[in-house]
Amino acid sequence: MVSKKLRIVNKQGFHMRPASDFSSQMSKFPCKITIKTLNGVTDGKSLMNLIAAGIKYGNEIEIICNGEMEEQALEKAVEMVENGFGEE
Amino acid sequence: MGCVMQGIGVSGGYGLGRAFVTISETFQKDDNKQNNPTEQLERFRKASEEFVDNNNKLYQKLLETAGKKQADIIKSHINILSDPYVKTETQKGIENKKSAETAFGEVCDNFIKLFEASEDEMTRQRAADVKDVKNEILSILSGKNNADLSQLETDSVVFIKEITPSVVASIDKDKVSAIVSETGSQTSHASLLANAMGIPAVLGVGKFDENLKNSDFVIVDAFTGEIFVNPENDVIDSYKQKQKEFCENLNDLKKYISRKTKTLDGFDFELFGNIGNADEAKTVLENTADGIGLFRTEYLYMERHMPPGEQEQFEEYVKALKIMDTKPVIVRTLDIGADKEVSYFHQKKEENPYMGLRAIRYCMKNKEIFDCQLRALVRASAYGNLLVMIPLVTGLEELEFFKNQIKLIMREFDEKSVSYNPDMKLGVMIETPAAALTADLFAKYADFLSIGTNDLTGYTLSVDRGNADVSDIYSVFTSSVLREIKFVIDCAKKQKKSVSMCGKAAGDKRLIPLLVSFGLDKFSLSPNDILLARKTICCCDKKEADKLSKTVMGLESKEQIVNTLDEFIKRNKL
Repeated sequence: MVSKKLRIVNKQGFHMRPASDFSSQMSKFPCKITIKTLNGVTDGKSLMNLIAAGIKYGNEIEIICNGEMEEQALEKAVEMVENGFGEE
Repeated sequence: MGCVMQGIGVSGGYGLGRAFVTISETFQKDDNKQNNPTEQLERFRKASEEFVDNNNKLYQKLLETAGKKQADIIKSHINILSDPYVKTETQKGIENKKSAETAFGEVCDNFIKLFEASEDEMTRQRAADVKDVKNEILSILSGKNNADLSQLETDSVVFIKEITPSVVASIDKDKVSAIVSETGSQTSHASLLANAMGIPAVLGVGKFDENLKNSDFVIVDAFTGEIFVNPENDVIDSYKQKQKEFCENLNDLKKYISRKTKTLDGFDFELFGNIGNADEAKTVLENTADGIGLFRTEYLYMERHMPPGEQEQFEEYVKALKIMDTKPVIVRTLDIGADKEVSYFHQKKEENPYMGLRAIRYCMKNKEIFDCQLRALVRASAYGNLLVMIPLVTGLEELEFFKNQIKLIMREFDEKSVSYNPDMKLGVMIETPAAALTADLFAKYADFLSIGTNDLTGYTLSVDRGNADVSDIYSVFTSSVLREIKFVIDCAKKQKKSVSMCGKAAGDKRLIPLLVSFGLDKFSLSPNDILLARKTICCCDKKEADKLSKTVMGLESKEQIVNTLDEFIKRNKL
């Protein structure tokens, strides 16, 4: 299992487009991907649960990958969040 | 028989033809029966496949017709259905002997409830997307829309519960003359879809009349939203005439593309377009306008969490400037308040918002927001012909404040060697009686004036256009408003300043001859109205218009004014 804590840097947080991109990228990895927030844990491959989690700008999250290709999955997840999903 | 149904016309045009009614059924809650999970899983899998297929096609179509932002809505719908959690939960339901409809419906309903309960507005809006996906899957499962629509005869008017991507994908444009739906509104996705189809459409008529049958003859007016079923011959004739004129007008107007806007006796005028984002500048160019007369920047602030940053705004303004090349682009600074709310600004509820903290008043009280926009604008001024104006002024103090802020920013940019256009023109919008009455002062100190007729008319007549009890009072064809307009134009001329008009009235055939006579320099219109206005001006004779304005300005009642203008239009075939 690998994990990393980081902050959401794009101003609109995990809204539709980022959550949509993120979940479809994560779905390409076989391992289990979990996002831990202040309010609980969310399946990183589920667009709907990501939106329901209401993760906002400045929130701290922990990304946990567990299983096959976990290193690569975490690397990709961190890259997407740190780049603010290509938004401001 | 009169109009039997009333909805919202969204795409314009008329449709005449035979009704084709798809049965509007909500899906059956079956689950007393025991369903066969293997069968239900297969049904769900097939419906999902069809959904993805339809939406992928629609995505491509929207990319071409409506742009990426709109197309992305459809892409996100595909992603909702592809969500692994949604899939496994639906499967679980099916394994518990539920039907595909119930299993999927329940999963969606849970998210809809969850999203709707959110404190966050953006999340609440997502509930609508989930509803869209749910409804479409259910309609595919019901097998109603698809099989039927491929069997249409020519000149069909399709009556359907809801316009969904699968409807759009399966409809044959050559056979459908109009489409009518029970649900949907101006701002719904259905409206976007109707426009993408390019078919006259009326949405949101509510439950269809029970007496409506297949093969009934119907007329759909996609301007007014009226639907006539088995109308009398005279109604049919009048609509046939309207449709003929509509088509002729469309062709006739095309002749005015790239023409000069010149009266019969050789007086030149300029036609500008109104836009809400940089991309719309393309439509303005397509209609061969001379520039952008009103860039409404508040739309950049709406439907998001935070105001757009300086860089983002800068890029948007530069984009518009580049599209317009050397043509002028007049940007109006943030105009919020009254009917335009932005959630993250936390505007206080006001007793009387039209008289409250709105437009330039809001910006003067929230300097950091205003400053951010002005900085982006000053930076953008280096990249084209940019002019900036402020909305809703009532006195010179507001103009002074605006000019000072710009001066401070320019001074700072000098120190930092940021490039900008030091000659950037600064103007004001005349849309209050206070500003109109002191137009001589504004003409002296501002570089240009722009008359906003919507608010000017409302404030002058003290009437809320949205209030049905008094909206009949609202009219630009009143002595009071016309005198104001004339005075503002006269004041600008005296100071040799440019004066434009934006708002619906600038494109009104009846007002145009008066404006030609008053000597308005620029007409700024919604891009679709540009060619019609050009035609009207090109068919106008200034000498005749001068006579008309002399008469009209001497009239005493609204009725007399309107009648005289109507008569003029008829006589001169405008």
